[in-house]
Amino acid sequence: MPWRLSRFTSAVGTVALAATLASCTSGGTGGSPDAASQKGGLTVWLTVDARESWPDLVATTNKRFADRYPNIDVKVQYQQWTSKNQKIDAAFAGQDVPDVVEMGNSETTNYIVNGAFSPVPKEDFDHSAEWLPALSDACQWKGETYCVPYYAGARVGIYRTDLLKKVGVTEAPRTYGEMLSVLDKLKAKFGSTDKNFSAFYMPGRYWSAAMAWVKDAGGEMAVERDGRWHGALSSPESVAGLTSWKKLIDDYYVGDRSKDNADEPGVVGQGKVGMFYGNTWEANAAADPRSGGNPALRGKFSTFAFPGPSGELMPPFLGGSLLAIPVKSKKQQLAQEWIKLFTDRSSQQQLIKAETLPNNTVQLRDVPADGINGAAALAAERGWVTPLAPGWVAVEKSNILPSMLQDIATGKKSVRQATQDADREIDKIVNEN
Amino acid sequence: MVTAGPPRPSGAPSARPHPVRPPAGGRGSRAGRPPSAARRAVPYLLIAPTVLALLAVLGYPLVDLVTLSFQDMTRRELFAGTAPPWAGLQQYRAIAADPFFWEVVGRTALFTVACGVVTMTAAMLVALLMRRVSPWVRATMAGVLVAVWAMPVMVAASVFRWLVDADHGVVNWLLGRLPGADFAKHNWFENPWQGFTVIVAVVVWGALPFAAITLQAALTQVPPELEEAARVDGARPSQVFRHITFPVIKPAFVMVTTLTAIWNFGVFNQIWLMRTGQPEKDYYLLGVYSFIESFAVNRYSSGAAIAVVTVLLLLVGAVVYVRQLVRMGEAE
Repeated sequence: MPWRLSRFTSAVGTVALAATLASCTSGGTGGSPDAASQKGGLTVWLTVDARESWPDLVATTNKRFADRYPNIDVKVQYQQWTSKNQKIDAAFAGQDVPDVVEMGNSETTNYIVNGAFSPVPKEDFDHSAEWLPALSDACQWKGETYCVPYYAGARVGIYRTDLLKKVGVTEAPRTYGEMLSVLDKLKAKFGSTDKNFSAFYMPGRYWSAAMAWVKDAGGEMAVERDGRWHGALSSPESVAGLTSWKKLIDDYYVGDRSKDNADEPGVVGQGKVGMFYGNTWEANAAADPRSGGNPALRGKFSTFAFPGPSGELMPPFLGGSLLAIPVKSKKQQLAQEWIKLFTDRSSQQQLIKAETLPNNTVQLRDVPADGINGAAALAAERGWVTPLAPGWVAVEKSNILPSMLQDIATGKKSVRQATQDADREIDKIVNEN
Repeated sequence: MVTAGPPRPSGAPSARPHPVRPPAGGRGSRAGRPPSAARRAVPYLLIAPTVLALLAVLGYPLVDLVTLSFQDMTRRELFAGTAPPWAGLQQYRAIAADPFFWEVVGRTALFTVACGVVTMTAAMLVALLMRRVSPWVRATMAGVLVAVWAMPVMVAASVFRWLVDADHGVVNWLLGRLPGADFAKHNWFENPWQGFTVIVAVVVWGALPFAAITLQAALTQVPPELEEAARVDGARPSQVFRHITFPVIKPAFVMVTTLTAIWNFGVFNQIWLMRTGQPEKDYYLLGVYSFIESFAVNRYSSGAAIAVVTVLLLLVGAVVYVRQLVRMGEAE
């Protein structure tokens, strides 16, 4: 019997071992661009935002493009932000690449220095002299332009109008001091009875928000000296900014400090938050059941230009998208033509209608001041982008900033200690291609 | 495998004028009738598809991985399609000199042992319990175990993450009911020891069904009359288990333990999902570390070197396992 057992055992074991080893080595990125793009096609990779928020713009552009190039079949394929770059890397390693790709403005530098994109003639594009610096800076390398700004999104203050009214505040705060006094009132009124109520919502790993405090205090994430980048989070200015950020959390936020803002609309939608710092669309999302929000809160959110501790408007991280043409694309000219149409002034006008910020300062004035994006348009000119260092994308992907902020927020490390550690980590990879 | 062939004179030229005559005739005559060539080819033909499939899905990537670890591949080479420069042992030297790498190796080993001990103890107890209960309870238990087994890791990890959520998790709420305990807003992942307790729980939860069902199957092979006889001779239950039951199921036990260890050593999904794709450095195990080096920091070669070291360490485990199997086979 034991003999039989060991046979059975080894059979099961062998199969399982083979399966284990197979699963160890599998799990690549997979996914290749459509092979049909070879014959008279133009493949465009956009992220899902276009499909969800401004599908009309894509349709209009394709129609205008078809008028000029009736024999070119434009294929727009939508990508998720989380998996987009792995797909792009896999595609770029081969020959069959998309002709236009959308990139985040903090992602481009690494691709540009590694020779992935073709330069484009900047002056051919509409409003290119007035492009938002936070977008166009991310496209510049050694005097050439490697991508075209597409749209921007700025963070603003968002508050519950009904809760503020209950504490006798009818207008959005205009200074940091005013804001803190409103938060004190919210905390006193609602926080005393509900220990889950946060006057201000600021999860610890929300790095793009926390870095606004750093920028406002005159600090930087990284600086370039003699051609080398160095982490600058432990500079006195950066430390001061993070210290006031930490104080805001200590005073007004009661939730989990090791979270990021991924589910912010859902959390705010539970109604236990008075005010938060977010993208303008989150005001709608918090009342939209499709994004985890609460429909009962519809119409109870309003945005305001977020004041910084320095006395100026808080300089927001200007998240934005750019369009680039891969070096390996065989339809460079057509790709440029499509991008020109997709980003010209009439297209930007459509974006403004879809409650998004345009790519240039001129049309920023067309954003309705009393609309949901009015506050964002004000802040956008002070917007910033992450350091344009070759290895910044690696800094982001290895989560150095969120980990540092979590250590600060939870009190595991002092601001000074955490920033020094983070700078050391940044220095290790920020100059690598 | 190599030793099974005829002994080769050392230093013999590889291309001989006349091939070595296989001593097939001698062997054949010993067996009585010489098997035909076709007959001898059958086993090789039968195993050929497996070998080919393994070479294709395992061999090729493995060779590629090892080559990559001796190069210095960056995105520039990836995008341009040019051959990356040869770096020799540089990647290995770099990781060997990095204290963080050894910290990760140590953590991975500790994690593997912890998961293994908890899984095997729990599985043994469940298997022993299943032998005692009535058939329908046993069937229910088996059904539950299979259901657990069938649940995708993705779902299981999400459920556990919600259970231990700091703000709304039911675990904090339950523990808070205990007198004198304050678990409101307790964050389980702030302290890596607590965080790993949760992660070990997820891993053990997922590994338990396979281990328990296999051990239970092995227990059915234990002759009841042997245990009966031991009990008649006055052996205590613990003695019966130690001297009668366990030796019989030992092959299965060793096999499950080794496999569990191999799985846990390369664990990736549970950590990745529990830390929502952004694990803190305290939560890096070898699999996660290699992935982040390769696909986040884009140091493809450094990531490959870490993966190769992981595979080598796994091979050590596999060798122990195979030796155990062989030794048990010989003992019969």
